[in-house]
Amino acid sequence: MADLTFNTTGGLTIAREMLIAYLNTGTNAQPVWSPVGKRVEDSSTEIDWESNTIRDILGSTWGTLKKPTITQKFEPSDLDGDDTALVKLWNLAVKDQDAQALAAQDMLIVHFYAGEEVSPFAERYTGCMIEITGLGGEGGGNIGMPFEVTYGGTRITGTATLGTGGAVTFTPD
Amino acid sequence: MTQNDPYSGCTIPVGNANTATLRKVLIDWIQDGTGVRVDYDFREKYSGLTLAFTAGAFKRKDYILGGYHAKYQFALIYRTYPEDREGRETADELLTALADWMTQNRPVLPEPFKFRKITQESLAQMTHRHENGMEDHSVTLSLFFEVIH
Repeated sequence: MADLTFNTTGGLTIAREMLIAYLNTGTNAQPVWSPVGKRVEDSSTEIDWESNTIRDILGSTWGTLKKPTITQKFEPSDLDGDDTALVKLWNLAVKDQDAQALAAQDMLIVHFYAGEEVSPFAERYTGCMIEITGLGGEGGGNIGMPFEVTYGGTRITGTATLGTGGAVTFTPD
Repeated sequence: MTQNDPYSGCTIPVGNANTATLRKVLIDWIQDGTGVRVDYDFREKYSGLTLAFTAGAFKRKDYILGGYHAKYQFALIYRTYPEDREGRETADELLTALADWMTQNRPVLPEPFKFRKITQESLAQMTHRHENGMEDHSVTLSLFFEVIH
């Protein structure tokens, strides 16, 4: 794949909302991409390349990296009946305690700032592990359901488009 | 204690569009829900009740999807000319009753604002006495709302 450029105005920083993760709340055949992170103030992927360095007998330092393990936390993730992604995760984790299903979730990360503005770069991970790490909160506050995603399974790159009502469609390369 | 006859004409104070919109929504909500008239402003020689924002709206949280959680602090101000202590107590009782009503009911905010809660942040009390003997009694509340993307 050729290098992409950013479709934002040069010299300006890029707003956080230009990078959004989606959970497939539909089916593999007809995915419905629901945004993740409603009411989350701060969330970033953590990228672990399992780096290793050696120094050879000539004094040169060599480094190696592996394919990264990418994780991301979403907290506090206040429950909201309109948050389709959270409702699905609540059912899988709290109601069903379906560990196998939670370890095989389909997610999409759209980089709205990269590539064409109308069809930005996106990457799909078909086997993500989503670990619900808690349920509750402080008195007088809201019920939160923080969770951590480990992006996994088959990684498919492509582009995303926004349709009516913000519906996302992913097109693989 | 009754309010004087409302004066004709009113002014909407200068402010950003969101502030002005929410102020009008709250005023209409109080009037429709309680039957108490709330003016947008009052002149020195008249008594009445008004709703004034004590501070501009500010975001408390920014969400990664682009929305935010915000707070508008405002005051209900009752300007009156009390003849005795009972008059002052009546003014504070009116403000307290309105504050209680506001914290227990929900206004319908226009899109994209989503109502979260109203909290009372001060007791009703006299906050200013004018040279002509008029007094301002007020109670401070805060409106919390969200914009969700």
